[in-house]
Amino acid sequence: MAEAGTKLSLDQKVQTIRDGFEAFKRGDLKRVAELFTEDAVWHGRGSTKFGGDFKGKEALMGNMAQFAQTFQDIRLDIHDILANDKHVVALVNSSVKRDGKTYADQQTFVFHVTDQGKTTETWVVSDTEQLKKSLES
Amino acid sequence: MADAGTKLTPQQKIEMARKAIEGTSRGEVNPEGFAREAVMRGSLMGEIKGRDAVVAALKKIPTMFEEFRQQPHAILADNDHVVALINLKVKSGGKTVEAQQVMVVHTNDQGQVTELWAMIEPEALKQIQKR
Repeated sequence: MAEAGTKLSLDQKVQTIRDGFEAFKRGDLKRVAELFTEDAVWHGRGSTKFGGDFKGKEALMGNMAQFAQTFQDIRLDIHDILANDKHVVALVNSSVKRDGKTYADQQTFVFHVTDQGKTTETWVVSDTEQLKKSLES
Repeated sequence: MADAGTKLTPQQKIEMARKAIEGTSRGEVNPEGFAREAVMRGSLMGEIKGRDAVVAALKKIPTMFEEFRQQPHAILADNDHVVALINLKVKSGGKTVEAQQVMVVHTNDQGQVTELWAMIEPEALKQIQKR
């Protein structure tokens, strides 16, 4: 993380997001939480419990923890991460298991990241119909 | 379109993508922007293979609705991908659906599209398709 007043380069922002995914994958939610501002917002899609807006770090981390508890063998393979001044976009090949079934998806995560490397907003574009189906089984 | 052998910069790819998206909303699609073996995978049209078929599909999409407008919110690019975050507005049957669309594009060094994914959130897509 950059020190206060230090502006991250685009490559550093990309690395910050990559670090976040790696931390999630090893179950280090404490590290993931450090990468969000206190007032960060997570915009989930769809009509499941993971859809809607989760406002504040506590709410979005709660959502993330619940996701991790709902599914097994969560795989998030980063295909690419791109960045410009305002956005970082991660293209992710994902798969999760639930009740013995595997659900694969190609997801896009869009992040707003501050110059100090903290995420303020996240949007997830994914197959929410499949997510709904996986929760009904 | 860059000359053969000319490698486009990410910024050049972004500008090309912006013009292409603006053109597509008007039903204007330049076939030279696509590689001969281009593939499109989209929420609205399924998988389409080959330049001619992709171009025809992209020209057809706006005609399927009373209004079809794609407004780029941001376009990002690196050496491998161009990603466009798009605010989509579709009007059909007198009703308007607004959705966020993500386009992920693979290009060759000449900036021609080799693969294109166009994703719309499924709930919004269902609203669009039932009109």
